[in-house]
Amino acid sequence: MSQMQLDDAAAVAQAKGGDEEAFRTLVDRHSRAVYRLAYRMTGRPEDAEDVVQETFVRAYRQIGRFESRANFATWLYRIGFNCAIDYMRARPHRETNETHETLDQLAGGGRGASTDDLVYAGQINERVQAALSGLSAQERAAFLMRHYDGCSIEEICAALDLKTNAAKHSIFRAVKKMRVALRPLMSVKV
Amino acid sequence: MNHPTDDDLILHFYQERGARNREHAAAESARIDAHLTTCASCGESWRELQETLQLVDAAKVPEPAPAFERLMWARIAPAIRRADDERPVDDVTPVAPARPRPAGWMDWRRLVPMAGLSAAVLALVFGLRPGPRPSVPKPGSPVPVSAAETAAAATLKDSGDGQSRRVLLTALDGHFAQTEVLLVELLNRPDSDLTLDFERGSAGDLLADGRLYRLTAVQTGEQRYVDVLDDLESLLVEVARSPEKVKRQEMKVLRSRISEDGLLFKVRAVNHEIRERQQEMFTVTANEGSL
Repeated sequence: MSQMQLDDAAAVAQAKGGDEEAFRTLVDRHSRAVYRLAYRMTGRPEDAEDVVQETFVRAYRQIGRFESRANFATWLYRIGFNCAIDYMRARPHRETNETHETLDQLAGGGRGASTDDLVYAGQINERVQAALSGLSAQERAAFLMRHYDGCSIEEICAALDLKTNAAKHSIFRAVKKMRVALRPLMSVKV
Repeated sequence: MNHPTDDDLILHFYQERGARNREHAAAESARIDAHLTTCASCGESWRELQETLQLVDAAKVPEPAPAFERLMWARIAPAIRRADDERPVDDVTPVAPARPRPAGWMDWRRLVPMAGLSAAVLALVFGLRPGPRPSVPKPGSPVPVSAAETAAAATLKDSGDGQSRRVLLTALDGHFAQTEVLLVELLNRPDSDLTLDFERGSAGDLLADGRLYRLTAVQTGEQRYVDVLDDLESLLVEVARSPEKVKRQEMKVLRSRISEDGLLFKVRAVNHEIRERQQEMFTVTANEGSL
């Protein structure tokens, strides 16, 4: 882990000096992780790729301000989340249209699903992703940062420029919506 | 103790403690744990919460292609090279280029007549006339909805079957595609070639068509597209009014405006959305036709 951090630190230092290959090292090392968060945020591979690209371009432009003591991955993911939020806000039609339909469908659509259906991991993936798409951009970002990346409330506040209560309530709302959306899957198992 | 609320349980799950100090937080957590072993309804809520979040954990993200890193670099490298030319370091706005497209079909010199045709079709459907080149506000100032636009919007009613919206989307698809190509062209133009002859003409055409589309977008309630067209307008004015050959500094300013306003990003996002909507409409129409 510390070797990885040292490697990142060295690459960042060189990239700050305009070394393109050093920046490429960072892209190679972190682009998949950024893709995963972008995919969870946007729900679609092509959108996730756009967000990855935008994230690294913004990172490159801001790299002069990156504190060498900080963790590059954490810093990069913050940029990634904000890029994803911007991307999603730039297409509000799709966002809002899907939200209600998806949540409604998910809340009722799973009733009566057989156990056989559930053995397919793909179905869980689809349902979780659809449930995520029912969250607002802010709820989704706060929830994903907390759930997948283990960010503290303070870190989420800093990354998303939120007050503590707003960050907490984003997570509360997100989890409640996820519970409603995923309940039909759980009722089979319980 | 009182029953913990759903919010308390969520904080408990994530070990986020609302308490003022660590000792108090640990005591509160222990109290919730004890309560959950004795209270059936809270225990049930707790299990459901855990199962929900385990399902979230179980969801996997599809792995991108093996050459993902190389492909991403091919997209990122040109953008950061441009950023190098333009940096101030503090600039945090997007400069993302278009997703690579098949060469040739998107050549903007081909798109000019396409866009003009779209405008003509739109004018025919809505009974609108583009009129002379619009007199445009100073760069950066918002474009107000004029009385003429409002009046036109009031008299032109959507037929209710989505036909007008469909026509608008088709027109905007071509318009934004052409705009995207113009923006990419401006961003990528080498400093050794600062002649903007064709760009000026294209910007003028886009300006005139954009005003017509804006009017239609106002009428159909597509405020999102109105906003993007407004954002683009001042840049198009600058390009249309620029001298045939610009100075290096002037080109730099144009590029900065594209970057600072995130214009390319916005254009790509709305065009993406338009294409999805068109696809949805096409699917609905096809389904209706098959009934």
